[in-house]
Amino acid sequence: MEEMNPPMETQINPRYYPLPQPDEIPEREREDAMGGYLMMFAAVASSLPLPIINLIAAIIYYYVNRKKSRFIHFHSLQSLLSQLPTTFMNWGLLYWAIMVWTSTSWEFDDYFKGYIFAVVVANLTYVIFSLIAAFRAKKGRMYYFIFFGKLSYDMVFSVSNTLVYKGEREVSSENKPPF
Amino acid sequence: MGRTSIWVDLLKLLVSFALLWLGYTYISPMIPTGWLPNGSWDPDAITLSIEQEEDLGEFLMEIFEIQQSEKVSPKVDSALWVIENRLLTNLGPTDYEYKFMIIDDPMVNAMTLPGGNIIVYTGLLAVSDTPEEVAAVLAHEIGHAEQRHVVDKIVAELGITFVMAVLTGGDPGLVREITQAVVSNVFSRSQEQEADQFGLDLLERSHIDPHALAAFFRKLNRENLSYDAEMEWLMSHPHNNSRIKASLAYKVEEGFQAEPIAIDWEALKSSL
Ligand SMILES: [Zn+2]
Repeated sequence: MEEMNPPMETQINPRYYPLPQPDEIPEREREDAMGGYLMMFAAVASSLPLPIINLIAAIIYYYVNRKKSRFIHFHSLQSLLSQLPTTFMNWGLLYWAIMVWTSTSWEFDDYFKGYIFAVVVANLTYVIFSLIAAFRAKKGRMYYFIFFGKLSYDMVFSVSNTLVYKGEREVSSENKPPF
Repeated sequence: MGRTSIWVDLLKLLVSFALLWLGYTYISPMIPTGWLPNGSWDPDAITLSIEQEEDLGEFLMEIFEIQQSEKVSPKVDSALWVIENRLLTNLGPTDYEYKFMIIDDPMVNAMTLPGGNIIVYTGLLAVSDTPEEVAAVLAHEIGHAEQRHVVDKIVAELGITFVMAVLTGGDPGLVREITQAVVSNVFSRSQEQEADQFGLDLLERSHIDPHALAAFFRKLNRENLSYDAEMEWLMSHPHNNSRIKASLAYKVEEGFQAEPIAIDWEALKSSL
């Protein structure tokens, strides 16, 4: 089934705020947006063996930066959301490994090997896409991960997001359209 | 379009993860890794093929070759060839095609890479009083290769690096660590003893006095009482007295006759 491309004007969805374009995003904002992705590399570089530091760092970064602009909010939210699954998988792996080494009823079986493999692939994928997203953010571009990108867009740019951003006029709800 | 596509994406993600997990679970019995069901690791179950080992060894040899700025003189090359030839003709059946490479470096060092590739530093030749002492070190290194110590170590260290990489969420220094694990030549004490025994035996079969190994160790002891960064072989091979004693205690067969290695050693050392 083929969809007809509507003219440009009607592509703007009234339920979402318009996207900022690269020429509208100052350098400072781009750097903050990129920082969300690079946060995890700083956490890894400090070589802390527990896969929780990156998560804490991302949460703090998110809450500190989300009000600065929608562009920063989007990228830091995407960074935060996308590292949740890999973090949980890594916790699962750690738990599973401890059980195998300490308990006699847990075995180093093929399911565990398969899990290790899947977790490694997930981690690598996450790292690669985070790097790409960081470079895009630096250029003032949007970059959508599968699932996390759309979810972050929906949470940040939807009119139901009531956060007030610096420099953005507060949306007044006194005058309402007739339908 | 719209919000439902978000949840379609989530479904795609979950399905791909499940496929990866179950897919690898299905094929993993076909991949020999040496892991036992209780989580321990059995090096003997590893079947890294000789070809794979040779490829890896060749790759590492090339890395060493590229790093080398100057070629050593052909005199040194041919002296080393005389020594290695004596050992190899008496080695007997082997899976490897041994390749020796000499590196111009004052470090007292020799190391075994995968696939029967052995690297000798000129510092080792400089510190040795006789070609027999060099032969003793090379025989020991051949022992590491023949007893598969190199492969065992690589696989064990790769496993550890791998798990650590997963737990830290993809370490960027992974490649560097793997290379270090492959190149570093620190073996366990029992592996060193095995390599010593193999080396002493090979020396005897090659008509070289096995006591040359003890002589070499003692020499290192004398020359370098405190550990020195240039004495790499010494550091990775703790030359405790028990190893000197073991090589001194090695009994040669009755009627053993040492055949001297025909190299003008003083001339060679002056050309280093
Ligand atoms: Zn050794």
